[in-house]
Amino acid sequence: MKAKKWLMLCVLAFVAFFLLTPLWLLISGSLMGGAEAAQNFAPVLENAEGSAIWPILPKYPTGQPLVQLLLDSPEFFAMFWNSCAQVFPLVAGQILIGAPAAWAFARYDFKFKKALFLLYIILMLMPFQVTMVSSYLVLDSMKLMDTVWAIILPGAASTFPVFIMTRFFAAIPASLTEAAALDGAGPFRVFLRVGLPMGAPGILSAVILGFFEYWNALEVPLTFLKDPKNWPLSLYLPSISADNLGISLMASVVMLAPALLIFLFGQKYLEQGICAAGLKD
Amino acid sequence: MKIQHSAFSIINCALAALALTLWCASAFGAQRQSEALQSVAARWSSGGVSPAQLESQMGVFREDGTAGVPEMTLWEEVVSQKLQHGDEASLSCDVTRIYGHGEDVLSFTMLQGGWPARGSTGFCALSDTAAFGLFGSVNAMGHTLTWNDRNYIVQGIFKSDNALMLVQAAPESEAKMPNMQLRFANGGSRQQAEEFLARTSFSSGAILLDMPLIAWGLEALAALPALLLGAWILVRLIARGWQKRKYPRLLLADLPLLLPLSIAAICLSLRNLSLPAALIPGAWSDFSFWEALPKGWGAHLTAWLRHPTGGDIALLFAALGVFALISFAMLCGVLALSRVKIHNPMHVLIACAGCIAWMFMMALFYRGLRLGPAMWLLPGLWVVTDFALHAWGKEGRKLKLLLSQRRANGSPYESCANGADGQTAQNRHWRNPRRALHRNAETHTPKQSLTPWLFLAPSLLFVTVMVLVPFGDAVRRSFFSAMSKQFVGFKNYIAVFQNEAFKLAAKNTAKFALVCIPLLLLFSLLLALLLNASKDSRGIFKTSFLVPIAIPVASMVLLWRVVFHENGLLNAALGWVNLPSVDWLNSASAFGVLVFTYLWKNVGYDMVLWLSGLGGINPALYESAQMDGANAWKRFWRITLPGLTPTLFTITVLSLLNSFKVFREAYLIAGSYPNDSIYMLQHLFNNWFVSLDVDKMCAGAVLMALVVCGLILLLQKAWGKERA
Repeated sequence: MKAKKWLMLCVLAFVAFFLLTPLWLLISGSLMGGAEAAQNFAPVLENAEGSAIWPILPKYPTGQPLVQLLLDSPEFFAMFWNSCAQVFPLVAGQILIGAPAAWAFARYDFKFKKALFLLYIILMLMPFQVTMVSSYLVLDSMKLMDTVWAIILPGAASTFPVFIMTRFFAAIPASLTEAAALDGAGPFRVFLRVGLPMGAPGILSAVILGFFEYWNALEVPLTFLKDPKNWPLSLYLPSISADNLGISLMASVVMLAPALLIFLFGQKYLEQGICAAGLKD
Repeated sequence: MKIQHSAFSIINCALAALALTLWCASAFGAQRQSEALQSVAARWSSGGVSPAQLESQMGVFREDGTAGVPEMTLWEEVVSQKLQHGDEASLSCDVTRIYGHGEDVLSFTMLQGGWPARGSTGFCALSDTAAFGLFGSVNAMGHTLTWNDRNYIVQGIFKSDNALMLVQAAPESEAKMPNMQLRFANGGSRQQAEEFLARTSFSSGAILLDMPLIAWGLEALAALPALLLGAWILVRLIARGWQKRKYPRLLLADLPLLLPLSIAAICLSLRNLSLPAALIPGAWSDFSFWEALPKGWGAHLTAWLRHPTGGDIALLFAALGVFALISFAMLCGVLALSRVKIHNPMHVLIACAGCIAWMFMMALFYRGLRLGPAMWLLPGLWVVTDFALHAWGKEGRKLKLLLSQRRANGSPYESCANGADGQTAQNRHWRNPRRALHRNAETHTPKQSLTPWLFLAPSLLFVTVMVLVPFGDAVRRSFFSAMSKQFVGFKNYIAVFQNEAFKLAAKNTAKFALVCIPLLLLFSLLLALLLNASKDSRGIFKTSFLVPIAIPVASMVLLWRVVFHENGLLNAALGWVNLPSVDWLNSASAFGVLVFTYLWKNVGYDMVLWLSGLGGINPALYESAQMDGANAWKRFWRITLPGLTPTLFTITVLSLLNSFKVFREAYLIAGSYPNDSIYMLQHLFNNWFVSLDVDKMCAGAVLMALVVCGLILLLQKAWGKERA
């Protein structure tokens, strides 16, 4: 029995190690510095002889790329700001629009509820390529192409957060809302005072899932943003890979950092969010 | 056991921070100085060498084909000279006349331009202070100044707080300069320089100073705290081993921890400390060498200090500064070390993270500071060792007790597995939300029929305006020609179907989904089962399986390229086991790379879904099955799998949805037109979009929507059947 347990642990540890190795390589690589990175990757980037090396620990770790990135590369900040200016309003908009809708789906019975919810599920599962052309038609007619709104508006119309939050709102015990209603609170007051605080884990789950999705976004900015100065980090990063290795490696880590922090603090909500999406109705 | 908070007392933190700061400062100073000390210095107390002499000597060497000739730079310092800019401004300035490489003589950072090259007599380099004093601006490149009735054009600006100028002497000049820097290919030593100068025709009696040795000394000084930390770790490890010498079995159990820790400590602290050649004799019994070593040094050093230049005094002060800083750093370090006791894993993490964060702050503060691995890993290693020793102590006491009991009554000791349930109340609640949904819905009466619509209004408005209406427009357009706006029926659809790229992309996308989704489902189910079975260490594994979700694709691109390139890491690994190398990204293997990426990214997501499915199975079923004598396999086939079928459908749909997102990886790694094997519908749509092929895009979108809708409805039917 004991041997079996150890075997299981070993298998799990091996898989975990395998999945975590890229993260480690990324972080240690960011300390490499431009010269060392250029030397290590020369076979890949310049087709030099031999094979590339990615050391487990850099030979000459240096804080120089970080300093350079934070103090000497204004374009990085511009792109970082672009990313923030696109992702945060987008997620906020999703919650602002989605939370009341989710409340309606979770707590009320009305005509067409089932059909409407099914429509929302179908829209949630549609890949971006399906809605690409229609979003483009709208944005083009509104003259919003190549602006931040081209990212925010279609994103805020996403039905995925509505679906997630519906699950959580539905799990609030009915006695609470009933008690509030008996005390004379109107439906909006009940939503604000009972629904939002009690459904906070659901909102957080939607925020976290949304953040990962849009921080990582590629398809939407790639199609709707033509001007490179509006690009988010996710599009800009690969373009600096070749010439300025030290900075590019460090920039990868700086881009990763917010996502990783949010992951570490919100893992519970992330799991709940995934589960909520997976439960059959 | 009570947690000791003394480790985080304010005094300790302050001491440790002070020690680290001083260490960084001294390392920075040592690094700056040693960068400038790369050549052996020679000085003649009277006379010297003139550029013309040097040139003729070089000519002789060239003709003889002598090997091992160093780069030679001649220089002299002329203090308090008057520089003139036109008629209006003048400045008192120290001038360094050189013949050779400027960076060998002056160790300042260049702000603009560069040092004037050997023999370019009309040019000079100015310090920023001098440039500001003379021209009123640091941007003085190309300006002209006068010194000794000669004009010089400013070719470089360097950073220094003193007014300094550097000019090149003419090659044919006969004026002797008293200083020379000899830069050998391998750094060089005094002995080497002595032997070399004996072969030249230069006047003898040069005082030689082994600058590379001084640089080594400074760096070694800065590395002392690492040595101290490493030694301290080793001493503690050995002391603990000594305590356990009566229990060899315990010692054996400690070895797996002890070995890596001590090896790491040794490697890290000794990493930069290779002895320079000047300090290694031909034979250890070569007594004359040992005798000559301090004597030669002493004689040259005293002679040197009798004729100091400005640079020497600065160097002396810098060395003394490094020494003082290091001493204080060591003192603070020792005090902090002797007080630290870390007995809590959380504190270990905080302390390690704190050390590393502090180091990086220092790197920001001292721009250009190289953080050696010893600096950023050793403090963490120290903290880990401290914790490990404490943890062993506890385990060791337990084991000792068990061993003595066993010896006393001969009974084997039992391990008690502790099956703590990691599920939170929240999770349990989630297992059955459907019931909650229904119960809540029933309590509301239909008379509030307007309220839900009010709640829904913003979302509905957005969805209608942004998605539904334009999609309707897209459907309409798919039957019209974009150019002539005429109704063309199904012509657009036929064009799409006849498109070779579409056929390829559709085939690839379908193939990808068919290969990936079963693989992912199987793999994540296995992980979920394993994780479910080992409840006590669940959290950490779950975290590590989920991390890939958080890693942005763009961050991974470079790593992925390095791994999968033809000269990349994967092929290097294949080379070790003698397998042929593959060009992963530009051949059919690109499909495999994409599958791997998809699995890497999504296995955690699906695993969480499976776990929630597993959590929904009634444990009573297992108990009764076990009582009936069903073995593990039977229980899996009869209870677990049927219990998971409802989950299976949702997971399939979500995996399908996520499989569309693999385009990000494919696009970033391989661009708009990747290898045929991974040319997906997403690439096709993107390329249609670039060429604004609205007809095809509309028809394609409608087709894709129909297919996805069909799949979802099919699965929805299946869900419904399961529910009944």
